[in-house]
Amino acid sequence: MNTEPTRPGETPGEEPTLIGAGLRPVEDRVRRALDAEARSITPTDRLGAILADAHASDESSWGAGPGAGPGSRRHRWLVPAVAAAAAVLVAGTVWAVNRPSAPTPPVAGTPTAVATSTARASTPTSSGAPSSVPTQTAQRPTSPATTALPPPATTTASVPVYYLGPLVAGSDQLRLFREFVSTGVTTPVTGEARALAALRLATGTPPKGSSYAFAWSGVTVQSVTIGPGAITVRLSSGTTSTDSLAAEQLGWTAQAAAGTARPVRFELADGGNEVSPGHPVSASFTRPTDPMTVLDQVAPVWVDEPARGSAVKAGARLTVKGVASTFEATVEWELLRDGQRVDQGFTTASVGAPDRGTYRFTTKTSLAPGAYVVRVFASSAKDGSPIAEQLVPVTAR
Amino acid sequence: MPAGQLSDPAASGAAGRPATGGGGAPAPDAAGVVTPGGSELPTDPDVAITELYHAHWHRLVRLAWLLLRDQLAAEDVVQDAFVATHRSWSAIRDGGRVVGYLQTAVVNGCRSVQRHTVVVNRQNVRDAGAADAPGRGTHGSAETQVLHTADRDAVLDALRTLPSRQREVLVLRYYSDLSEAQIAHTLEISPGAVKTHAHRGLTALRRTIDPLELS
Repeated sequence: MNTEPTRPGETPGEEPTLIGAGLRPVEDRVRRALDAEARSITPTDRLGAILADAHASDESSWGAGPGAGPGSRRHRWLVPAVAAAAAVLVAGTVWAVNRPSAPTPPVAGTPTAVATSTARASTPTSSGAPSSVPTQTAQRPTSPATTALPPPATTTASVPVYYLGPLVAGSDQLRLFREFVSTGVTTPVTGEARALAALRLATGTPPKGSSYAFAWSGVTVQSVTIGPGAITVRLSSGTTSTDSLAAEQLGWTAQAAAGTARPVRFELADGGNEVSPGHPVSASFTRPTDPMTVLDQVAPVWVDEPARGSAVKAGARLTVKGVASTFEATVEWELLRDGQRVDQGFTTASVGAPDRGTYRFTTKTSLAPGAYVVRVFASSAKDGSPIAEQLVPVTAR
Repeated sequence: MPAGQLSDPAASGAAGRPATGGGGAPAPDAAGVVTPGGSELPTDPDVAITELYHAHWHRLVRLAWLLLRDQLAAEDVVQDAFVATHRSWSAIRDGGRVVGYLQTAVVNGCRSVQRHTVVVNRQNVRDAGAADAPGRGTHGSAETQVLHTADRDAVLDALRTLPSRQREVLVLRYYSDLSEAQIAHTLEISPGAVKTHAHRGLTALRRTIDPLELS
C-alpha cells in the first residue's frame, strides 16, 4: 500500500491559495493524467541490484586505498548535498558512456521539414513504400523555403538487432543475441524505418570480431510494412542456410525494432516458398511467451550497454547493463585486456531463470586507455563450466 | 489517511519536522524510516535501504518515469539514488532528511539524464524492451496502449513541452502531492519560484490543452 499513490483532494494545510479558480479544471486534469500515467508502468524489482551495487562501490572505495590514504572514509564527511551530487554523477556516467555521434541531420532547415511525405525510403525497390509512410500531419512545413531543401534521407539511431551466435565460444548450439546498433535510419523515423534498418543489419555481415553466424548471405530485405494485424517483411529470397533459428532471428528483430509484438509475415520476391529450410513462407512468426520456449531461442545473457565497439571513458569505471536468464539470477563478469583478466565480479539479475531479468554492474577499477573486452557469463551449477556468455569489445579513451 | 504516507516522507524531507507525528498513524514501516530523530532510523544501511525501498521504490520510479518517460532510465536513476543513500547512510541518517534526500537525488538524476538525451537512443531501447517482454507493461507496449485516453495524452504531451522546472514543479505537486515548501526544498529553489513555476506551467497547459476555454 505504500506503493500506490493516493491523494484524493488532500492538500497540505500550509498551501496558500495560489491557483485561481480558472485553473482548477486544468489542475484536475493534470492530476488525473499524471496518476493514470504513473500507474501505466510496473517498476521492476531492483532491491538486490541496489544492495549489490552499494556493496560493490564500498569494496572499490577500499580497493582504491593505497592512493587514497587513510581517513578518507566517505561516511565521515559526506554530507547529503555532496551525496546528491554523487548520485547525479553516477547517473551521469552511465549515460555518458554510450553517447552515439550526434544524430542531428545536416539539414539547414527546421526539423518540421522532415515530416513532408516526400521523404521517401531510399530503398532501391520502393514498391509499397509510399503507403508505408505514416503521415505526420501534426507537423506541417511552415517555411516557404521547404521546397529548396534536399529531402533529409537518414538520421542516426540505435536499433535492436538479433544476431545468431553460439551459446559459448565453440558451441554448436545457436541462440539469438540482442544488441543495440547505431545505424542510419530513414526519416521520418517510424517503426517501419527502424525495422527495415535493423533487419538489414541482421541479414548483413555480422560485426567484425564477433562469433555470430552469417545466415542470410545473398538475401536482401526489401521492405517492411506494419499493418494492424501483422508486420510484413519482404525479402529478395529465402535463405538456404541450415542454421536453426534463422527465420526466428528476423522475427525477433522485426518485432523489437518496430516496437510491437504483432506476428511477422514473410514475402519472398523470388516466389520461393521457404523463408529458411523448414520454415514455409506461409507460416508467420509469433514470439513465444513461455519462458522455457523463449530460452530455446534467445541467449541467456545479453549485454545492452556498452554497445559493441563503442568508446567508453578512460579513467572511469565502466557500467554494464543487460538482460539475463540464469540460475538463481547469478551473473558473472570479467574485464579482459589483451586476453588477460584485469577485473571480475558477479551480480544478480532482477529475476532468475527461466524468467529474464535485468542486471547491471560497475567495474571495480577504473579503465586505463586501451582496448578491452567485457565478458558476461553464466556458469554451470554442476561443474562451474561456462554455459552462456556474451563478449563485447570496447575501447577506453 | 491515504495522503499520509505520501506527504509524510516529503514532510520529513522538506519541513524538517513533520506535523503529522500525532494522530495520523501512518504506515509503521514507512514511519520507522521516515520519522526524523535519528534514534529510530536503523544504523545498518542494508536494513535502512531495504525499508526505504519497500516504502518508496514504486513511488519514486513512477515519479522519475513521469519526468523522463522512459522506464529503464527511471529505474536507473532511482537505483542510483538508493545506492548513493546507502553509501553515505550514516551522514544522511544523522541529517534526518532521508526521504527528502532521496527525492532530490531522483529529480536531479532525471535532469542530468535529460541533459544527455542524445545518448543511446532510449526510445528504441524502450520499444525493444516493450516488445521483448510483453507482460512488463512498459509504456508503448501494445497492451498498455489501449489504456490511453486522448485526454490524458493531450495533457501529457503539453506537459512535455514545458520548461523542465515547470514540469518538475507540476509533477511534484500533482503526482507527489508535495506542498510548496516541500517542492522548494526538493528542487532547492525558493518557495516564490515554486509559485511562479506552478502558475506559469498551469497557464501554459490551459492554453495548449484547452484553447477554447480561454475566451
